[in-house]
Amino acid sequence: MLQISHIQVYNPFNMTQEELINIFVVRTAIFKEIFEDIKFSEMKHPEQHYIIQGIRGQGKTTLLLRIYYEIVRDIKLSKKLIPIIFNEEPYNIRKLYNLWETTAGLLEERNEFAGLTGKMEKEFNKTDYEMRCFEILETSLKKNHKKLILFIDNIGMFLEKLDKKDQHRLREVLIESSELRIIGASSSIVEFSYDYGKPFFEFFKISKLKGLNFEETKVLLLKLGEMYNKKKIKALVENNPGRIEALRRLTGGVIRTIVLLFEIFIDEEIGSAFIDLEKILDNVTPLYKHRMDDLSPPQQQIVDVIAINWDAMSTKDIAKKTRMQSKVAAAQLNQLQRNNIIEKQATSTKNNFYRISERFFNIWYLMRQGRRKDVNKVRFLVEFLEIWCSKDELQKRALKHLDAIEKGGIYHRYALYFTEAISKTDISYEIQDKLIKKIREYVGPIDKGLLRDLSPSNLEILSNVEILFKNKKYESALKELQKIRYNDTIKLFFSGYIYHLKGDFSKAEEYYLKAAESGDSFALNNIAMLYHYEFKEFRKAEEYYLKSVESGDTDALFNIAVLYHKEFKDFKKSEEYYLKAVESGVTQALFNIALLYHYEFKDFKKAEEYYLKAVESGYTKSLNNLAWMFFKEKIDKIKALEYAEKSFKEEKTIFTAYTYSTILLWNNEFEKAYKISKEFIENPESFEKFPKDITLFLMLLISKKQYHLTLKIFNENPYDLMNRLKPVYYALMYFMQDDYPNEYRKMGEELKQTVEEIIEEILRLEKDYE
Amino acid sequence: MKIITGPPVAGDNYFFRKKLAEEAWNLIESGCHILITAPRRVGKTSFMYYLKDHPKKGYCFIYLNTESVNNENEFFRRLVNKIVTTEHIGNSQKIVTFIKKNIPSIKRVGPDGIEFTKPDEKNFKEMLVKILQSIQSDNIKLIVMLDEFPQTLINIIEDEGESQGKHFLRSNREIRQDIESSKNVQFIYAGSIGLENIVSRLNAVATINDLARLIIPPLIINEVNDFIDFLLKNTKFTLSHKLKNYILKKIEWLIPFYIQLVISELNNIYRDEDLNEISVDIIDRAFVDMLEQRNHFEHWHTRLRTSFKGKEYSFIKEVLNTVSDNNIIKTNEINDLAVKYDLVEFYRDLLKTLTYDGYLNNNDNPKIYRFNSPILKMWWKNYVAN
Repeated sequence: MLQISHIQVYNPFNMTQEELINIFVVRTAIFKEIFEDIKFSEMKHPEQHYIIQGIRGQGKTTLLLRIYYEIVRDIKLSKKLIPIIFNEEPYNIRKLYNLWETTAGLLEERNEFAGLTGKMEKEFNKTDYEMRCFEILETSLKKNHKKLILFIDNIGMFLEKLDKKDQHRLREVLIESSELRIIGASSSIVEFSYDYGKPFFEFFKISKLKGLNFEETKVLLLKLGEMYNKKKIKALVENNPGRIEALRRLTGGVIRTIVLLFEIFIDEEIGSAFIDLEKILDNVTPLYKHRMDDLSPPQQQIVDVIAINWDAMSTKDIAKKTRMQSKVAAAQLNQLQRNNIIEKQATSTKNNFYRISERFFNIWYLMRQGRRKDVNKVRFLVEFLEIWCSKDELQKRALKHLDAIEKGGIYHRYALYFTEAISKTDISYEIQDKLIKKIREYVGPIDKGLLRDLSPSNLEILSNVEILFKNKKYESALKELQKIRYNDTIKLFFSGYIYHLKGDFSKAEEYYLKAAESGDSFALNNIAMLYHYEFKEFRKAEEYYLKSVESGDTDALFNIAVLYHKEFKDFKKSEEYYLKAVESGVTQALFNIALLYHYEFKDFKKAEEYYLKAVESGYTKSLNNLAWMFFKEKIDKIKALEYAEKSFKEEKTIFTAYTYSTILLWNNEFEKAYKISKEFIENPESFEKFPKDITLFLMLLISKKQYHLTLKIFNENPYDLMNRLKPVYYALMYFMQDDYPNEYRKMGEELKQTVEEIIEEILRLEKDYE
Repeated sequence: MKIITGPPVAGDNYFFRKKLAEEAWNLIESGCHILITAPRRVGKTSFMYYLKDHPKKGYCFIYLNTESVNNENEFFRRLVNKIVTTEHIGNSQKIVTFIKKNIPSIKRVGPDGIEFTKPDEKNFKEMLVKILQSIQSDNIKLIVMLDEFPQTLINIIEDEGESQGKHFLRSNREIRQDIESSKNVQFIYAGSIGLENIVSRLNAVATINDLARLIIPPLIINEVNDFIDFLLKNTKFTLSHKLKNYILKKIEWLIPFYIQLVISELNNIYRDEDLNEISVDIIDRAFVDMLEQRNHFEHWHTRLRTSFKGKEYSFIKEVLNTVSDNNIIKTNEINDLAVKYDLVEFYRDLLKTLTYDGYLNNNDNPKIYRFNSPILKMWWKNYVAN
């Protein structure tokens, strides 16, 4: 098997005859047609001339060479025909006589034509020099009974330069002479500016090379598989017609682009195919720039927008992005389409889509002109990878790439751009993150500036998103989230979550539902929470919690238990789900089930058990509740004190201080109780959060006959306790009538009943908390 | 046999048009000098090639295309060279002797051309007359076919002015008169640009009123069917009677070129898409593809753009745009446009040019003009008007 190096594919002139014939597997029909025309033409009369036209990379030069070689190989044919190939771009051929001079020079390599250029030189000063040159050429061909086939690559470049006289002369030659025949090739992208009205053009049959069709694409890929010894290709081509068709559409069926993408993909370790790509891009830059310069400013703007977008766009979107009126944009699009710069993709509706017709031009534009932020330069490669590989294969290819980077020796630009491309495909977040971190280490020291073209990993994006939404910068968070290319469940979920936080519940619902559709149980749980807490649609909440539970979300177990507990008051069911949540390790459930046993089932034993379990699992707040249960239910004052003290020591809050000081009173530790009580009684928050409990504390203090201490508290308190808790104060005055006989009487009539109730309560407390 | 859409068709590839050949021979045999009038791509040159390749006994045809020539002397020099290097003339010892005797400056006549005793012989016209007169001494009739003659005239007018143009026409007329006695040389002038229109603008109609007209008409229906069959010999597909009619209806103006072009496009699609048969849809696509062959259509526009300037061009363009949009234009509308462009006195000449050059005709109704060819109309509408 013939192994050829990749670079040659792009310059067919560098290939040997055998190599070129071996790779020539497509364009066979047109080859045969033109060759047979040549073979069976007698050339007694002027024959059909050809221009093979197509966009770059369609195989024009290869086809020219293939015909050329076929003539050379045909012994019978090469006896009467002399094929001559101009293998340089015809920069030096500006006048028609240059063509005859150059031809004569090439002919002179054959003995029978020796001296041709010398003859021409002698005529140089004559006014009809060109005609004389041609006559010399023609006469000598006739004399030797030979006919000439001129193969001229980039013929348009030459034809375009001819002045008016030469144009007419060429037409005369083409009409009259049967000694020569021209087979040219021309790239259609520069040709839109050509004046086809010139008189000689109609003498050429223009054979357009279109993109490969499906069958041809298959043939080409099989050949590539064979050349690179990739056995998998055969199976892939045979079993995945969809992928072949998608690849064909991606590349517009352009041979060079297909080969290039294929080679970049299989070149796992070095990246030389990518070096070739960059070389080609540099080579076409002057041409493509020229092409852009030829457009009017509004057309340039339109081409820019479409090229950066890569995918086909509607007129409406193009108009919007270019800030043109739709009508104006449509007129320009029409013109661009006529010039073959863009192509229309018809849709079922009236609104057509437009994309850059030459896909390689688009690749060039992204890679070389795409300087704007957020432009994905290797968009074409991403699309190729998505077409070419299953999810599983992408993952494997990403790992291989990681491996190649770790080994080192891979061309750094390739390493980076391939990373960028494969990172945009649907590979796992973890591998993507690893790859991106690795490539930064690899490329950073070589070319730091290049890292600008590398996107952050999805995990990095998510962590930015988290920081943003935690800082309540929801819009920025949503924008940042858009950097994740796939609308995967993670992205959808986070979108929902940010809207949820932002308070845009209907949007949150929309995204959660989308995420849920792709099976995200978190999303199901969060939708249920929306219904539960925001929309108060408890039945719906229950439905989604249950779905979430079904798909294994443990948070949902807890949440549904809360729903049954708080909203439906279905304590049995609540217990069931709390217990399930506990089993699945949701520690919060321990505390909640303790509350359920405590307040709803009054099963203090079980409540104590779960409060303690909650403490064990780290939820120390539960101690406070436990202590309070012991106090309220008068279970055990020593244990109560133990729990309360522990709770207070774990966390000093107004709540724990309150519980602790109250239980201290129960245990008759007045000084300490007084001291601790300052923590809550001198904090204004307490008056908001639990004013009644302050009353209870003071009543208990009075019940313990600590009248002066209570009065001291009243007097010391900076928040006008006396006024806030008037009934308690008068109750105290009732007990202190010996010291303040008049004070109790100052009490207004309206407070009498309340104060009496308080006094009654104090007497009850005295008994209860002896 | 091949489908040729470029150079003139010759040899086995030429589709023989019997009636046309008969008409031509009638004129030739009656001793006329002839002006072939036909628009572009109708098949003038191919027909001249046919005459050249199939001469009746005693006739010798010379074909010369002078479209790049832009002065009179060069024109006659080329003609002299062509004649003396023609096999028949060059080999006739009688003629060569006569030439050498009567034109002393000629040293040698050979297949490479003429060698002079002193360089840069000036008066080729005089020399031509003498050479042509020499034919008298031989019993051969020489028919000189001058293709793209009107283009040569335009070149001369553009580069050297109208008076030189008139001079050129007079010189040709003089030559015809000078050799009248011989009866052995006849000229056939041809060109895709209407010679009569240019000449009438020069006020020099008298210089060409001795020429007999040979009109090359489009194919008639019988010819056309034969012609399609003739072309299909070279394709891998066939066409039913129904499909042929469908094509012809679409082409309407049945010049061989359009038929060749459509068959050639069908062949491309058939080849590129590996088809098994041709359908109406494929034919429709072939017509669309055909219009994209810019090299075959753009000259229709270019030559108007180069031949007419300023308001004349604007007038012509608006007339053609109107017809391409509305299918027809009435003479009163044309008159109105002539007023718009201040061309009331001249517009009839312009209209004649458009008719002669194959853009428009008013065959059905003298007051209504339409495109000769629906294909050209479509092309104009898509690529020029809008």
